[in-house]
Amino acid sequence: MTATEKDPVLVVVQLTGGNDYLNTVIPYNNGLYRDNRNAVSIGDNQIIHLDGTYGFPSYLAPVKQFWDEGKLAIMHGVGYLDSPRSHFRSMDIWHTCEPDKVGTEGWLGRVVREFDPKKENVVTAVSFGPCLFRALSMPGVPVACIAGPLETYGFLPSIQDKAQRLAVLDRFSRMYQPIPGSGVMEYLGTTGLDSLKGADILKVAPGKYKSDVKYPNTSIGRKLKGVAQVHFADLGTRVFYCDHGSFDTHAGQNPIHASLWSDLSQGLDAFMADLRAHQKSDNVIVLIFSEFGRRVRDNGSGTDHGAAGVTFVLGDAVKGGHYGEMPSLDAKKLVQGDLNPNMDFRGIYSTILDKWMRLDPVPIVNGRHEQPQFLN
Amino acid sequence: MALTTYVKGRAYDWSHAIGRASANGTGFNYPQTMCLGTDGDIYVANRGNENNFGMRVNHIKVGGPGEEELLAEFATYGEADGNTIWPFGVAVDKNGEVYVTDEWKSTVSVFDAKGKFIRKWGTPGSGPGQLKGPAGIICEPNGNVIVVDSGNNRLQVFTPQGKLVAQCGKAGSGEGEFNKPWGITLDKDGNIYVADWKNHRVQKLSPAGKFLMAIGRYGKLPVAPNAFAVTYLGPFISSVPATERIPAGILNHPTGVAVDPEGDIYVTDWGNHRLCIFDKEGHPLTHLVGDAQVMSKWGQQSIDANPDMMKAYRRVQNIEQLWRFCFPTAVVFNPKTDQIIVADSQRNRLQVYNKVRDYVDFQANL
Amino acid sequence: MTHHDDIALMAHLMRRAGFGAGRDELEARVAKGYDATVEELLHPEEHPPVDPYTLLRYQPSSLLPGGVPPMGNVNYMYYLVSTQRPLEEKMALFWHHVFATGNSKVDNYDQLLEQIDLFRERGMGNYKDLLLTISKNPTMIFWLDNNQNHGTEVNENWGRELLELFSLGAGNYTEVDVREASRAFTGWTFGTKIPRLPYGRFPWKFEYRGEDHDDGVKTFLGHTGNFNGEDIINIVVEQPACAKFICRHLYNFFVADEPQVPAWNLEPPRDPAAVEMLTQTFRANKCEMRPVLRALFTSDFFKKARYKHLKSPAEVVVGTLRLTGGYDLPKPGYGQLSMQPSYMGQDLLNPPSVEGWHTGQEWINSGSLMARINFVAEQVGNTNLPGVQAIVDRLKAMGVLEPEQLVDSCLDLLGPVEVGADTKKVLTEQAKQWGQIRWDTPAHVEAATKQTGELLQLIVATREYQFA
Repeated sequence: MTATEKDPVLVVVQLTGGNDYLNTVIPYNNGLYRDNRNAVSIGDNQIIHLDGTYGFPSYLAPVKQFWDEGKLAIMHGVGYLDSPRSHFRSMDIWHTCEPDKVGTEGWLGRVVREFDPKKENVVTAVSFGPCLFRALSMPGVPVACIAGPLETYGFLPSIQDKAQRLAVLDRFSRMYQPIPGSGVMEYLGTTGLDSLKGADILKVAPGKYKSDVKYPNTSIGRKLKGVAQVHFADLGTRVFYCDHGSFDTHAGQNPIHASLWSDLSQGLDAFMADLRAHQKSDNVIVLIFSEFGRRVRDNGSGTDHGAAGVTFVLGDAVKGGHYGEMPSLDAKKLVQGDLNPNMDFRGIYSTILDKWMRLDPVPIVNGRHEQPQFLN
Repeated sequence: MALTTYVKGRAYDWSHAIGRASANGTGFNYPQTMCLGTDGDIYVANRGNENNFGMRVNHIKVGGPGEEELLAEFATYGEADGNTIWPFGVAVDKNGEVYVTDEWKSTVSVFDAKGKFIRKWGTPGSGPGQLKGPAGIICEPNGNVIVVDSGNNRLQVFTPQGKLVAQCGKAGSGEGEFNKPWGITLDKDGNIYVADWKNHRVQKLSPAGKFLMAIGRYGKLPVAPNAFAVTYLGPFISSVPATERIPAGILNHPTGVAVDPEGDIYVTDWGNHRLCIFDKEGHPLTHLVGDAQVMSKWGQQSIDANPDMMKAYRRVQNIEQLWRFCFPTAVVFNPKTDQIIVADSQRNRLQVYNKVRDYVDFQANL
Repeated sequence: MTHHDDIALMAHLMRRAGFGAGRDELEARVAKGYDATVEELLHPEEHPPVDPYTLLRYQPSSLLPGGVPPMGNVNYMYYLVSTQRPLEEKMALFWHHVFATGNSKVDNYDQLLEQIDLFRERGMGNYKDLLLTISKNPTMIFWLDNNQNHGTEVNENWGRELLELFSLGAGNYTEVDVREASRAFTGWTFGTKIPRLPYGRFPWKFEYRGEDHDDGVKTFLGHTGNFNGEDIINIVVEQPACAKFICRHLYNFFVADEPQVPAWNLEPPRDPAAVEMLTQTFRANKCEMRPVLRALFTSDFFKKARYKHLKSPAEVVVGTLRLTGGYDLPKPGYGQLSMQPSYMGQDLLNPPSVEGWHTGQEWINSGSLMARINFVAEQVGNTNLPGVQAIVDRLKAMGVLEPEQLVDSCLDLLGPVEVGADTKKVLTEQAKQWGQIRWDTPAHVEAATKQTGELLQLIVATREYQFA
């Protein structure tokens, strides 16, 4: 099964570790920003203004272009009630949409199940990372997880001789013939062959891919290039997932934050240019989120775990602009020293599900949430 | 709890703590060793973790309480010249050049006082001049450097350029034999002291490497009933002062050693979470268990930025666990200031004590 | 029994009661005898514990690893790979499956490690003592919200899971029992711990707060009284359902895969007589685990259960590393190794929920199957690793090998692994492609070594190899 060319596609970029909201979208006129940030504030000459209120640090310059084009939605003050300030718990909440209990089903796992209930396409979701992110996890839902280079994705990459590996993989497929009625052996056979099929399908993508766009040779650059390669191959992939980090900048924040965002900005720049050059950008949006924002006041070297953060959605179908507003930096309005979230992340998911993926968001995000209108 | 320890004409005053847990910048990440610079400054070699951050040497101005400053960071994680995988030993020669051992690469890298890479040497192996998991390092007044070649259970002496000059020691538990030694220091006469880690003792050797004396024997501090375990390997906090129950002279995996101008010997008794002090004959004098009752300057910055942390502190019933050493790894004595500086490894801080010269005991009826 | 049968049986015992063993160890154990080996496994104190000081010297951040992976897993993996007390470690893993507590909420790997250490220390002792200890374990208390369970306002999370997942199983109590058990545990909490900033992690400590305890009369499973938590546990372990539930867990973990736990009150055990025998032993010995384990490992049903258990990711990774060797400290890289089980669907110290991991067939999906096969293949294909080199050396000692002999010998030395006729045919085809294996010249040795590595990779990729 291949999807039609215009099936909507979602690319998720997870900023692992807690991206510092205040140094990403800087309220540069707000005196409280400087008051709280003795060690890690961004200097005035390092800020590129979006408008009279907010600016990006200069290392987000490529992302600023998307803002100027009206293709970047900035969601302010994103989070949820009683933010736990733990990486694990927060990430789980974002992945499962379950703030009050430990959930096991990922929201994107549910999306994949909706798109492909009969599991006809084993590459409906493709994840670039060593492990299955809980957002994608759902019993019985296949997801291709690409830990290394796309070119060698599949079984037994440690056999390096190409011809020998092909021979071995052929033997593998014969060893995995499901024997009907053999119970768990049959299941293993089907799963092994599914997996082999997924690898065979994805393997063709790099070969078919031709582009003049140069991606930066960074971890996130390589992942985004992989996304483009699979997307261009028209394999019916609807959800892409990649992570980038670590944004856990407790110490020596400024250079780390700068380098992480430079890599991401340049990667996104190449990615969008690649998509546009191949007329493949109109059905792709990119969701960029982090599990929480960081504390308002710095600790003399970096910033610690906070609550409300910023979420971006980027794409040619996106209505650019600010959505919601930055929570107050006034000490009296802070919760435990943190920005108080005023937009629920599940609202953003709901907009994407409703307006983009054309799915009912309620059962996927576990309830109704106000949808910011960044998509038509 | 006592902040002054007084024994046999010597007094030790707790002064202050320096640092906080931090993978870079103003803090530490599991210090393995440290050494004194030429100007009351210190260098700290941090092990870091498997995420490949935190490894580095940081150069710190010490001073009095609140006067600490981060001067430089170098030898950070990496394969290139000037980087390290597992930094371990650090030493400074009389010209201010800084020697750093890499326990994984089995190399010695040399930096200038500002942390700029100059040269390196060392190849892995067990032959003469080769290294296997080098640990502590120390510079001799004549310019040579002694490397604790831990994996080979020996000491090797090199010229500053890395040419082998001499070696001594082999695997074993006899006199002059070693089992995974860790830190090293020299006294003013050039005698060598080595923390013989898995043999649970400190060995004193002559400048020529001849065995002179062993200090300490294996022993674990007894754990009082109902003691509170800070980690499953201690320290154990109890209302009964530990000093009343301890057999003298025991050590559990000693890691670091320092000698003051009077010849008193300071040993970080890592596995027993304390600093043991011996006189120059090796007789036990007392021990210090950590007294960080005042938050470090950089630590306070973390608290100030995090009101929820402050709330939690105010509700803690037993704060004593916070004061105590947790696997202290290294000690230096600064003869110019009479400061004893202890690397409190698992707490990612230094605790500074003063050895008080003119201490007069108070009247008991105050 | 022939020598080969003895080896096969001993390999089975070591895979289940431990994490497998290389051929030299198996031969030594066969010489010692099966029952004697079982006794040795049941008495870990005869062997030294893992040396934590060596771990801390080289990986100091694994003591109080806080929230950052992979250091918590590094600590755990080091114990799993280097223990000389395999059953003690396997039982700790068993209890981690049962009392599943996860870092996703706890966010303190050090506290999870302390809990695992508790399982090491008490896992083969008395189940009742263990249950009481875990009731007072602050990590568990936080995980199941018992710190929110107040005399004035009951939180049933711990009370419910105690009955449903830790002792009786669904269907063996009522909602009233859940409520009453929860009331009995009010006031079981922990003191405020020193926060993580700025010096790193400090532990929780159990606290009983009498003023927060509901000391009214409770009626629980037919008993009435002014019960506290200890009383609830005393009543629980006397229930016939409790012995059966724990013994079914043991059967599922050590003998053969059962359906998932939530189905246990609907589906009977696959071997009711076996579970009944274990249950009787458990009751007769008043919750002592050792006699039950002895009965299990010396039973016929255990000995006949070869390859009826789909290996968990922890068993896959630890078993492979113990077979291949080469992972002794000092060495960086334990971080990546320790994350391998999570890539295969078992994030140690972080189970998906209090229900623990779903086992058996549910370990396998298209991603996890690829992760497990590729990991094992990469290791056994690395003929520089000492354990793999030992296999090559044994083959070398056999001299010239015909293709069938190569296949048989590799299957033998990796397990022995038992494969079906179709699988064997394909493996033999592969070996025939290479023809006779010879070790007489350096060039032949090089080729033979490479071919052995490739055949080992193909064997660990088989379906049969996924079972223990």
